[in-house]
Amino acid sequence: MPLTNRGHEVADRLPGATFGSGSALGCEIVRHDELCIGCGRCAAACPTGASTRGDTFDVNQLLDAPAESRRGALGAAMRRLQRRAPSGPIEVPTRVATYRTIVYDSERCLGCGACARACPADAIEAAAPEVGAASSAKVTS
Amino acid sequence: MSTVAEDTRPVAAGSAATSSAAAREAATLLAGAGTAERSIVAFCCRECAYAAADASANARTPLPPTVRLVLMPCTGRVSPLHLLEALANGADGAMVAGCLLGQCHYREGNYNAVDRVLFAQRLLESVGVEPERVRMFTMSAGEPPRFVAAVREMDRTIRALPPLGRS
Repeated sequence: MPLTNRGHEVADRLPGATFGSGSALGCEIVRHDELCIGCGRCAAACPTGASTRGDTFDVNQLLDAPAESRRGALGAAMRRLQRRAPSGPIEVPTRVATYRTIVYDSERCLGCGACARACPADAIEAAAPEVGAASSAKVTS
Repeated sequence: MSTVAEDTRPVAAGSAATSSAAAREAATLLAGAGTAERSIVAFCCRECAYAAADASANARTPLPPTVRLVLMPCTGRVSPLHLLEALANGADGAMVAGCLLGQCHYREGNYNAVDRVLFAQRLLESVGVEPERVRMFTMSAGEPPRFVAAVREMDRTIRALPPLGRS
């Protein structure tokens, strides 16, 4: 059956998607929260809502940020001021948009890699699935 | 150290992009003074608080010698990075002075600033630093006494706290 317009639209959002073979989906998504700048583009690009913007912020994201990353300066300032380890995530006021930890739900993730392509900070890695492993999993299930 | 003219040399930020650098510079100047004196960096909105500071200086109202002003185009430009970097580089406190709520010249800049200051306080609290070190004040351009009162209040708050330790 040929793809509808909507089908092409979806296929364009999933890099390398070929319906039928199933080879493009199932990338392994690795998130590096210490590099994340909280812009939410992964959440906007996600076709299934596996990545969403949360209501809290994990302070360890700043404390772990490497010096050369986009939040390196703020991380360095926080490390200098730090007196104790943060006890948990903090609540974020409404108008603070970019300091929100992205909530990633692997159960809903297709592994399409759209988030990795959208990420401006290279905080998401999408590793292509091994073809052998994917097909053998299909056989056993 | 009683008149304002010598005490509050404004560290003017030429543009919004350099204001973080200006904050760092202001804080470094303060740290370099090497006194036991506390230091406060005040981020002032050009439309109101800075004008109020100007007027209070013209009236020769004494300000606490601890405060250094950083000119911002609007308090909406203040980010948590400005506040925390000022503290990390030598200031004992950072204050944001902006327009009265609802009277921002850029519509919503000071609302954003209120939330960012609140967020910076929570960040500080989570790593064990007193959140009172960062505070937001509002005033209009025609209220120099209110600006002076805000600076004095911040000065009192900071003096009540121990010096900020840094690693």
